[in-house]
Amino acid sequence: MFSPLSILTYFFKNKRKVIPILAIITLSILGISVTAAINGSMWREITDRVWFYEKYYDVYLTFSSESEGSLEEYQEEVEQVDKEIKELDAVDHIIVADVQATDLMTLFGNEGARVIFVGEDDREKFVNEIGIELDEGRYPESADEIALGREMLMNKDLKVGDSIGSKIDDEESLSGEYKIVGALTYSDSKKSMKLGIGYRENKSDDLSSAGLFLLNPKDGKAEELASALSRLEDKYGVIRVNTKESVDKMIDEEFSAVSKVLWAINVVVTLTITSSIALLNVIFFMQRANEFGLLASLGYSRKFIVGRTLLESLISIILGWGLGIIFSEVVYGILNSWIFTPRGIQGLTVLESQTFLFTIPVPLAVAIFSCGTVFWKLMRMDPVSIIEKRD
Amino acid sequence: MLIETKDLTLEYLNGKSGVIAVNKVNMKLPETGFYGILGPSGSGKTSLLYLLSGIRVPSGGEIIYGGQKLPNSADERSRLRKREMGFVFQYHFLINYLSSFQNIMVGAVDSEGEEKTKRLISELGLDGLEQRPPYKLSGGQRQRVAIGRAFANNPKIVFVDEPTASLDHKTGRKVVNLLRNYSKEACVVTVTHDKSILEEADGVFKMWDGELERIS
Ligand SMILES: Nc1ncnc2c1ncn2[C@@H]1O[C@H](COP(=O)(O)OP(=O)(O)O)[C@@H](O)[C@H]1O
Ligand SMILES: [Mg+2]
Repeated sequence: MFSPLSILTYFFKNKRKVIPILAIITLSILGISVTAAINGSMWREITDRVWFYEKYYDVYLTFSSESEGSLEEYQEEVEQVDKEIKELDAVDHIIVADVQATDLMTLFGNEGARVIFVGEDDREKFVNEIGIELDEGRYPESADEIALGREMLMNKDLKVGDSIGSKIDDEESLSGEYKIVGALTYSDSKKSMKLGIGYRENKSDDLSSAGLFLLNPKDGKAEELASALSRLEDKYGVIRVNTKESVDKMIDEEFSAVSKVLWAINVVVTLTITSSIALLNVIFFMQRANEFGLLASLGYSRKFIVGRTLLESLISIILGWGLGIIFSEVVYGILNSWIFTPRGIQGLTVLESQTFLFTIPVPLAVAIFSCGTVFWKLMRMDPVSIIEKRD
Repeated sequence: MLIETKDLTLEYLNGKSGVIAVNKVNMKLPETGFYGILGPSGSGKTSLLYLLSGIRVPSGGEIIYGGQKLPNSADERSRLRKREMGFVFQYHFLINYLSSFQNIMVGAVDSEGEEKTKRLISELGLDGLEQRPPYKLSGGQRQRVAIGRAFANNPKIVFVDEPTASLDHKTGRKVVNLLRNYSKEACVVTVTHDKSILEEADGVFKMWDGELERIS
């Protein structure tokens, strides 16, 4: 048997008081983490997508090579940029590619994913550099074949052997028709693979005939290359450049706004939950005034009474928080297997530093609020006035 | 002598005017025995018990307990009370989420609490009620649990405030007999305005307007 004043005894004998508090905290952890978890899923999606820029920077023409008129007009300028790019000192190698986009379904509408068409000679270098592996099938060996990321296939509900393209499906933005001959993954299997690889027949390596130059910086020269490219971008109106820095900056801008909104929500929810739990705690505390007065009159020290009561609060709060984490993870697990994983979208989880961090203000604020009020009340308590009252 | 007071005084300050609840009380009580303090309501009986047990601090005079002055620090007085004293409050204040058994154990000093509580349960005729919470007990049963709690630490002295006030005559009688029994091993000081329960007391004091006088 536990000692009568042990915390376990209190919990077992006061389930009706302890359980509601646990339940409120548990649910609030779910409620508060869901926005952060969605944000986390989005963030992982995007970082997976821009993983590419760790290895290659994009350079492409601002107009399409098919619109002949413009090409002629800017012929000279394009040739000049082409030359300057190829002379850049910080470049390790350039992969000349064509690019197309295909729509993927995300949590917030459709988003384009890239299919990069590379020549057979470049492919191995490209694939090794980024860490792409074949999960199934093979790489394309002719212009009408294509290999797509595993998560891309899941998202589109396609499999190796199927065909894809605007000829088959009006809504498909990938023009033409391709047979899917392979499924790709990243060697880091946690990343979701939303890149496609096609076969580029054209042997020309002129910027004017390529959709895209992929520039791999020399080791340690990434920044140098980025600034060189942005200088070129400023100098010549005909090219656009995407570097790791520019992409990161864009993501940061987008996410810092989202993250501010999320924290604002967090603060409001935390305050609401905290004040209601703290109020509950104070009510329960008042109901126990007799108990505390009695214990003090029987000779229990104030230190003992305060310590025991604070520990009770803290344990129930930490327990509620722990349950909340477990409960959220279970709920997210269900949602993931139901909605996210089948669509190849990065799933929800609370066990990710940002989201996890997000759940901490609730228990923290509840602890400070509850313990603060309880401590304050206990220190001011006059035991004699309590035992002089009737119970 | 176990406890001795010298000109013990307690004055409550109610705004400007003070109430002298205990007025220059001199009393001596030995190690064992059943002692009664008689007096009408408002005469200062409860206040005197609070002083003797160290719950309240006197405004004048002093208390010698076991040959030494009762300590000044509230913490030390608490510790002494926990170890060596028992108190049965007038409104018996059991902890309502604990069983009878656990309520008695609250009064014990940890080490031998469980054994002692078992013995008290049977001595107090509470067998079978060990697991009941206070709200499922009768007034007399609650009173006995409170007495059990007061004796759970093998106290040297036990203060009992109006033990029969809320009980019928027969139940009150039983409670008094229990107290008398325990007074063979400890000093039991009972406050009452019911003369009949002090018939066989080892000593009776009378209290009136804060003043105390031994009458037998
Ligand atoms: N906490 C208190 N504050 C002010 N006056 C009090 C307090 N407690 C008791 N008194 C006063 O002290 C006197 C003695 O009260 P008490 O010791 O309760 O007497 P008894 O127990 O004999 O009824 C009464 O006049 C009462 O009003
Ligand atoms: Mg009284």
